[in-house]
Amino acid sequence: MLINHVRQRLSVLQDRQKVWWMTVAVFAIVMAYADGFWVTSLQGAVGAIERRQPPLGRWLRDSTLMVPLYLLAVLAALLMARRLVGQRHGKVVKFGTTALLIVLLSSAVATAEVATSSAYDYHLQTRHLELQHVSHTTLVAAQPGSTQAAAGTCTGTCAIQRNTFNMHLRAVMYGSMMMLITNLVLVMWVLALRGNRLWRQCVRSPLPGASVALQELSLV
Amino acid sequence: MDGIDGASDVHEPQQVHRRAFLKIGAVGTAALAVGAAGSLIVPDLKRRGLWTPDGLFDAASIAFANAIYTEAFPTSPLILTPFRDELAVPKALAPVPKSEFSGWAKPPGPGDGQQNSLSGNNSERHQIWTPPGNMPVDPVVYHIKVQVNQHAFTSSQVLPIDQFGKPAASFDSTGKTFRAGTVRTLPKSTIYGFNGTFPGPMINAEYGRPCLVRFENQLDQNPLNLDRQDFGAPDWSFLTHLHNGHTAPESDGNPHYTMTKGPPAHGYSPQIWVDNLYLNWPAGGDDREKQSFFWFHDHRMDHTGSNVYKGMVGLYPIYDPKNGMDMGDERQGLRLPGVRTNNPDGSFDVAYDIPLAFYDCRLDDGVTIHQDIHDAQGEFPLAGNPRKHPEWWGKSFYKHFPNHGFVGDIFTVNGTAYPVLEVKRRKYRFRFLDASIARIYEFKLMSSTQGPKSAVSLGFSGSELQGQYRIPDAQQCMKFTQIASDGGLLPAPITRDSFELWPAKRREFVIDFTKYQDGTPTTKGDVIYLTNVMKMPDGRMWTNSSRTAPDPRYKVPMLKFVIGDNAPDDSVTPSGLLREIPPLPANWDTLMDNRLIFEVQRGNAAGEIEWLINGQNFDPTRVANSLKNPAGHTLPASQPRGSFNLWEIRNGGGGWVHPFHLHMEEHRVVMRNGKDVTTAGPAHPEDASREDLAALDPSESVILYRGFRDFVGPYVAHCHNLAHEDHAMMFGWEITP
Repeated sequence: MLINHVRQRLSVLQDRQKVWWMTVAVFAIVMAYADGFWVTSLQGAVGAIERRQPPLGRWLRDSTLMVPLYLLAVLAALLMARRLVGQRHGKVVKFGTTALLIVLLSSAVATAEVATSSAYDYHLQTRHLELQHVSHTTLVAAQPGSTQAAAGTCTGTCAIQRNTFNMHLRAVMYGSMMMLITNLVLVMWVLALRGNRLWRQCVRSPLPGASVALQELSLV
Repeated sequence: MDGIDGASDVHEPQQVHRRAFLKIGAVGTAALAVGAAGSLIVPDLKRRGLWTPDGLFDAASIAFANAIYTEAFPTSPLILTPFRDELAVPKALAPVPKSEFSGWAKPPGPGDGQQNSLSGNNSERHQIWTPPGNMPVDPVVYHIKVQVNQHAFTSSQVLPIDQFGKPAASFDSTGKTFRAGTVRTLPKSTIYGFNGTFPGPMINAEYGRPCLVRFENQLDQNPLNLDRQDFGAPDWSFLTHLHNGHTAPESDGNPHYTMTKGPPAHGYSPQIWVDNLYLNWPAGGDDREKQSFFWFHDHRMDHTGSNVYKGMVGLYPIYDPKNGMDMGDERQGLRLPGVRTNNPDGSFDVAYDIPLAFYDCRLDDGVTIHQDIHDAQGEFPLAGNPRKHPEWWGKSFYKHFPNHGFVGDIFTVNGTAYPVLEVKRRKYRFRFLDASIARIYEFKLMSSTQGPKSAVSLGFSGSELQGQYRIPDAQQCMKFTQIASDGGLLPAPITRDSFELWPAKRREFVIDFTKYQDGTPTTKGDVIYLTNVMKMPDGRMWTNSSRTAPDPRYKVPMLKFVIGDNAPDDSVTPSGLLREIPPLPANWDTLMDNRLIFEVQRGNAAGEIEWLINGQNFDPTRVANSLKNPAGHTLPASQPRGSFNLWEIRNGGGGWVHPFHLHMEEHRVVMRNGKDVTTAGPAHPEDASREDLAALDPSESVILYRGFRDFVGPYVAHCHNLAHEDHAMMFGWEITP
């Protein structure tokens, strides 16, 4: 009796959540670890040496920490999709919109992650540059005709910082592009696997023990 | 159709089929992707040493680096008639007569302030003038001036080509443009050279006979008014290192010393001289530590690569006259090839004993933009970079800070591209030296019926044009008998089909030109090519070599031997003991836990790739710290005089190889990737010998047994990929009293 009651309450609670949590989790985990691979690799290419550590361990740690953000992004995408196209459009539009929103929101999370990482790297690298400048700069021998840079010209450390900044911009751009493509592929793949377990729609259908029933958005 | 609560799968049989189809398709696609990756990517990763969990990330990092760091190199003009210029066989440099140097304003000597021309506290004295236990003997004195001059890599005419091998426009120093297809004569390249030559002079030295070389900086003088271009130390300073002489810090030519004592500066400035005293005395006075072939080169902090590339290379074979063992006379001792002539000036030459310095370069095409981080630092204001330099067309091109490493596309031997050497029908001793910035070679002796063809004519383009010529039908025809490595004579000779030569490494071989490997005698006029079979399109590492993935199409002839007349030959091909190796102490492995550990790493700074050790760039004012060792200690790189220890050098990965050089005393590899290699193995037969440079494959680690004898003071250890060394893969260490 008690067990049946608990089951009923849990069922109602699950129904009220309106999404398939397993699907959300699969999306979030798959994308968090896949995007994490690119973030870690990008850090290996352009990141500051101070943050260097074995990439596998770094990937596992950072990706795991990012899973909650991806969960939120996927959840938001599903709910937004449901609100935008849940009642009025055909299946193709529903799935297209849902997939697109998941890809966009999760890629936004990934881009934010890589941009934050690059910003921190830039901060560390410019500090490193100033230290390096002290011990490695050479006075140029007096060459006939040698001229000094005009006042206000960005040379020396300024020029190097500018190069560093531009490099990180390129890195964020490349990284974001890679993660967008990766997320697109992964979303299509997960949709193929779990397309019938995306989100649920409330329908007014009196069932015993429940105030509402839910209708799934399924791929087929 | 929307199902309800997942029930659609059950109630709609058609939908079940479609779902199943999609699921199977998704799983199948994933399986296919994994399979394709396995067959396409895994072999490449394995070849590059990246088939590890961390290696996968490194491979992706490299791919990102390729996309993010864009850099262009010129394609050198095609040398139209290779193998016509004779190989330059260096003659021994004449010493300065005592009557002359005793008249110098500040003659060499052991007293205070006699080691360099600086005054006050910066004027040093020689730490040891006479080695312990030796009779006092005056050193042989040489005078080498560091000068601006010009050098021709070839006398051949050239055809300017682009990266696709198509004829390209060219230019001259006046700004005139020559249309594509015009055959040209190359202008000479500006060099900074020892006595103004490239390679510089050769000092034939002997154990027991110290040499003192007065290096005098005359780089401020430019009598030919040559354009210095945009590489070479911008303050025209130099710092000469005898690689790997057993020398005191003040004569070692290392920036850890010069920045803390001596000048203190990155190098010695114009008009300054410094006396480097080479005692020609083995470590610990132990004959088993004797070496056989040094070279001296610039070591100026942050500009070693550019100064070496600009010409600061000299040769220093060292003979051992004790019991006539290896004194350049094939009638005595080990009877290694060599016929000695003592010259009236006190020097001596040894015929049939020839050093071969390998060096790759690029020549400017006039349309490649010059741009690197040193321009941003304002070091070459006259160049006005970033911009193209058509006025430098045909002259040597250099990039200080290449993200992908610097390799040339013209291969030279003793300063000449694709030379020829007529050899007698007898045995020769060749002393190989890799004086390149980053290129690793693998050599074979090959014969060909059709001879060299230009890579362009064979349809190659891009990086496949490196080396310019191929010998498609070449076959190995002879073997090498290796007698020495960078640490001197081997314990026993090694017969080799091919061998690798890493930057700064030396290896010595006997080649018997009387017969082929199958026993067939050679005849006059036969041609044999010394051929490079290691393809290395950039400075990271090879893509193809015999021990990984041979490319049968990549056979680049570098030196043409033409068999000449018979000649008397009293030498023998060695077969037994050459030089005993100092034994390891029985308890060497008890040092393992408290060893010093240094990891070479790739980092990033200044929008470019930076090279670091233990996460730090080179600080010339201090001694580096080891990583935490298994005993839990983070030890400073300070060793008491007379001690021995184990040092571990790790390659931090990233798909790069590193030739890691440790100054002062040669070492012995005892462990490689955690395995005991004291008995050596087929991949590294020289692990049972002494070396001064550890060749680190990707992600490889070696543990070296090192001695710290005789001298005290600051030294360095560094990667000898000179672009890495300059940015800033080097650390300071010291020997304490």
